Amino acid sequence: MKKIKEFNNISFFKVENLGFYIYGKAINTFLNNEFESVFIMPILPNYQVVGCSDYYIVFTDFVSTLIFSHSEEIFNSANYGYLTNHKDLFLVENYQLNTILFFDIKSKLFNSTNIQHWGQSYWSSHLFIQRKKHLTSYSLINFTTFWHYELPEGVYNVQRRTRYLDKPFEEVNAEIVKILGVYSGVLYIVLNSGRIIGLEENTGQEVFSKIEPDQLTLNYENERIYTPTILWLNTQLDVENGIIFGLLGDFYAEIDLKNSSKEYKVYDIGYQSNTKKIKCTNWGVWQGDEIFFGETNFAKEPARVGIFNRKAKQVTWTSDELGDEGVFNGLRKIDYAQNKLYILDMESTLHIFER
Amino acid sequence: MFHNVVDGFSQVISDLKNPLFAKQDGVCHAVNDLKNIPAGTISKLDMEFEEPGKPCVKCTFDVKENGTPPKYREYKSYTDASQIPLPQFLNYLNEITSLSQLKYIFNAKKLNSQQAKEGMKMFLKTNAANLYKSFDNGGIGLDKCKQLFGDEVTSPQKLISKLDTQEGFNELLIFVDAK
Repeated sequence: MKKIKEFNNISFFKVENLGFYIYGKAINTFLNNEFESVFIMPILPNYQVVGCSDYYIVFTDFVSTLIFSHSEEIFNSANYGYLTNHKDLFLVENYQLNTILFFDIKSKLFNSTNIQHWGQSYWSSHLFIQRKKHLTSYSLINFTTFWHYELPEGVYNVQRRTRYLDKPFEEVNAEIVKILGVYSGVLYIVLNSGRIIGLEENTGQEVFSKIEPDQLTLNYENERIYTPTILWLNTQLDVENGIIFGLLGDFYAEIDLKNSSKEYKVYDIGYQSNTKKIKCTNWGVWQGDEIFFGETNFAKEPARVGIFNRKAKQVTWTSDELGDEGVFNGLRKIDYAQNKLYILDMESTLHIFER
Repeated sequence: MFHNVVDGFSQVISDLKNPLFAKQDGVCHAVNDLKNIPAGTISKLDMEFEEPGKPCVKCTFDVKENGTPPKYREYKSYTDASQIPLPQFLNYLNEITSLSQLKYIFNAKKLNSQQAKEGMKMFLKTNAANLYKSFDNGGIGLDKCKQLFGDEVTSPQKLISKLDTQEGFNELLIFVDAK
């Protein structure tokens, strides 16, 4: 891994197939893989970039939304808030009517939907939207509701440890925190307790439920504390191989969905003598067998980046090998694409390394 | 083992001797709460108490707890919770992925929990537009705001309306307490 490029004053970047977008105070552009600027957007002081793909870039000032292709403005409307996009389909919200519409980039037409509430979304053959205890499945063609799932009252609540001696436990109400995705006809979701639930994609029937094993007990003398919500937002689904996995702190965990026992395995990687000493505090991105992650302390304090191999179950590389270039002023975003590692630090500098 | 082995503890002791009353008061408030927490759970202490109403210069944190993900505690001995400094608050928000990782603990001798939450609500409403600004314009950006306040809270206007509902108030101000 060696450093090939650095950009300053970057507030946003996104890597796509054709190259990548960077956006900041002074620069606002689309670059190809040779880092030649292909297209420069107009600077829009009150707008910020909220999304982009190979074909367009989306700006919003929270009152209106602008969508640009690489050559022209293709959508500009007041009173529409940006919600999300998937390929050529945009969901926007009409602030005045308080309704959610979809905007087709190709035809440039709006269509109404019957989506009532907004939350985290996921697209497969259906559109899934979750909010707290609720999850709804919509058709991608006409946005009619297929099914609605609600967490059963009280069933998945957990007793969570607090740090106070006089009140060591508190009851936490169950909520959905993340939609993982669909594998073999089952939609997997994560609750705030770390529990993973599988719902039949076409009916919403609960067919899978598993909570992380609480392997280590709290040890106040020891810094390495295992919490039952170890993976939580870091939980991922490898759709190709049917593996739910995640990395947080000193622990890697996975469930092999192809295996009939679907056992929840936790690996304590912090005590492995052959691994490099780094813990995952900042999730980056995963690709194939590798997880790209970071370790930060606070704000702009020195931070490092590492690569964890899921097959070998160990850290295979840390940015320590780069010397001073491998120490960052905090971490905001880590991405990896086409053998290049992208690291945006807390001082708005984007560092690019090549393998 | 007690908190005295933790990084930053010596700063606590020197701040207790600081002739400024505001500083002594702030440190006492923190120490009073810390004695209820088991030794060994804290990984870092930093007692840079900034004065109310003044911009935060060093923007450090008070307490970082052990564990993953880490949790942060900030002690404030203010009579008006809406006066907390924004840059320091933004630093905390950047560090966490859920509001449950953060605690702003006000001095119960000056404010009860409800008053502290009301003050913080005022603070969030006043600064909603700043929070949603992009990172290099002094905010934390839309993505972080959605992660912390909810995916449905896609604009500062929505954050303000959410704070005005009882349910939203309870949910968003979970990180505010008085002890």
